[in-house]
Amino acid sequence: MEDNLFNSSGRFEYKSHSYPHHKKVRNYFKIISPDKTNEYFYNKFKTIWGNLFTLSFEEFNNEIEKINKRIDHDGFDNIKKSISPLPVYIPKIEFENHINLLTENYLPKLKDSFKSENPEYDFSAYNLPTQNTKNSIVKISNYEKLLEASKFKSYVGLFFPCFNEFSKKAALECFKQLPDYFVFSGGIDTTSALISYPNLLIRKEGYAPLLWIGAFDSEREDAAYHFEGYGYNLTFNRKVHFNQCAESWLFGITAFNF
Amino acid sequence: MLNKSEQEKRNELMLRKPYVARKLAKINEMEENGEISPIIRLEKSYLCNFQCSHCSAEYYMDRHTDKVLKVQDKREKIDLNDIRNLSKQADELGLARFVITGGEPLVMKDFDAVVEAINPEKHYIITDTNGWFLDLNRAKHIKSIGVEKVQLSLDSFIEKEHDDFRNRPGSYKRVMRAIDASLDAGLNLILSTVLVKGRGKTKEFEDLCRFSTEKGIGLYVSYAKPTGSCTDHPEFVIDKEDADIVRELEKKYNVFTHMTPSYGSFKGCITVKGIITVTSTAEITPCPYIDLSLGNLKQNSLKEILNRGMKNPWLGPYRPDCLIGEDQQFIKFHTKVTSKYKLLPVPYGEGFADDNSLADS
Repeated sequence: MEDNLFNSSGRFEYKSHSYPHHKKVRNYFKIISPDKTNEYFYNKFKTIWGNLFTLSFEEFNNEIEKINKRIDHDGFDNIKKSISPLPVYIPKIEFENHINLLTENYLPKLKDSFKSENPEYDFSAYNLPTQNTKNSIVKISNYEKLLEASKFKSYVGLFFPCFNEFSKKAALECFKQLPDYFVFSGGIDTTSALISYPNLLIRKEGYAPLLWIGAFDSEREDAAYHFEGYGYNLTFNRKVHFNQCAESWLFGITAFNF
Repeated sequence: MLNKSEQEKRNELMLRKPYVARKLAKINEMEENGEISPIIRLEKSYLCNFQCSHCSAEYYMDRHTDKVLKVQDKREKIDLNDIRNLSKQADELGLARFVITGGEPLVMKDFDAVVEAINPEKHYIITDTNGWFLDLNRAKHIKSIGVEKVQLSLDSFIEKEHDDFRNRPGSYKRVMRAIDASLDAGLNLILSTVLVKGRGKTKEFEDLCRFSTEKGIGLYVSYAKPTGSCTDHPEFVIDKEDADIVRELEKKYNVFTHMTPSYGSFKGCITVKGIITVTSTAEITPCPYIDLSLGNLKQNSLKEILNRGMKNPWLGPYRPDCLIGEDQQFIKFHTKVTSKYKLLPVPYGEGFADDNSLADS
């Protein structure tokens, strides 16, 4: 595998420049690496998901270790320099519609997680997609694969915010170069990263980026959903992005043991 | 979706000025289609009866250029024909809102003519004021000529503090009179106040928020920016904590900034996208506090200048913070460039330019 896809800051090195992105970044909108242990993340998932979290601490650690080894083996270890990897847990849940799965299962859990850390502040969801919202999953994102797999088994993953200051098309073009155990910024994986660390997008002395869900569109190809801090509060919302790029925009990817 | 009170106001406007009401109703649709609909702040004159500690327009005023800088501004000024032309161009682009500002608009001898030149049947017209001259007769008069809304400055809920900040004893009492006059005359009204560092935590500020909310008046909070008179008061400039305090107060009171989300729509910094300023010399700047021009209306069309602004990496893309109020790198760039010029704003190409870069400015 190539060893130079990610630079020393963990950002993907975009070489084709076919779509909008910033060649130079000043890291004005940044995520502060969470200073948490696997034990913290394990307890967080266990508390939030209850009976749907079925792993022992040892099993949880082993899953994380396996992903780490895979990433290192494939020469992507620079990706861990963006932030210390953020564990993701995808419980086995049967569902018919991935929008309902997100809005009825994951977002309420994120609210619980956020409120447990920030009782005085709010997680608010605006302009939620509905079952009838025409939204299509981006084929190359591997999100469909994650959704299908999660109907039969729970998964642990590691989330990396590596596409800062990229347009969606530029990030997807880069993502195509990665092996298919990575998923491109889907709804449940991105939400799960925030469940594990709900203050990821909250900063007191500066601004964190806006974290896109890029694996499916809103009702049109140039609009999508995202998470963003507002003061000390967290929001979920929809925005038109027109396939442009902004200094505050970020897409993440998650590695799984598929 | 508008709340009940706003919907009633919109319905009432639809009966009186259907063309304007329809344009206002289309703003969200325009944004969804990638079009912009900035409010146009018109600074035809900088004449003012006050000399406030934090005035963003002080460096544009004759009293500053003539007496402090000792330079004569020989640049061509806008006239009523230029305003008619601007109004026509704005209307063709679907823009719907003008704010007459200054200086103090209500000392302008040609205020009524400016309102007529903007055309109240085509645009929703707002005026800024310090309230000194806004008694009931004046309020009724400006309503009768087509002004819809007043933005009234109140810089402290404590009388002495406001008067000191405004350097004008009696100004607080005049603001209170102007509030009642505006409401009695049927004008829409918002109070406008400047947030200096630390003020958000004070009892005075929360008292003002409460007063405004109980009166049914919105309180617009403008961050103190390191420009104009505030250049000499860096201690006024807010930090993120101050901005976040206001974000929390938005939950409790009818208080908002230029970046407060409206009905779930988070617009962030509104440079070009939500506001522009037209100076007395026909220069267009991307916000009231950025003294760098995007072009001159006597040389370029409004459409060309707005397109130029939207392509600029500082101004066009979405960002959640206030560019000139919070981004220290941009503030340094702005201060460095503007310090070389006596007459503001800095012409296009000298500050904002086609090759601006976020990482290299």
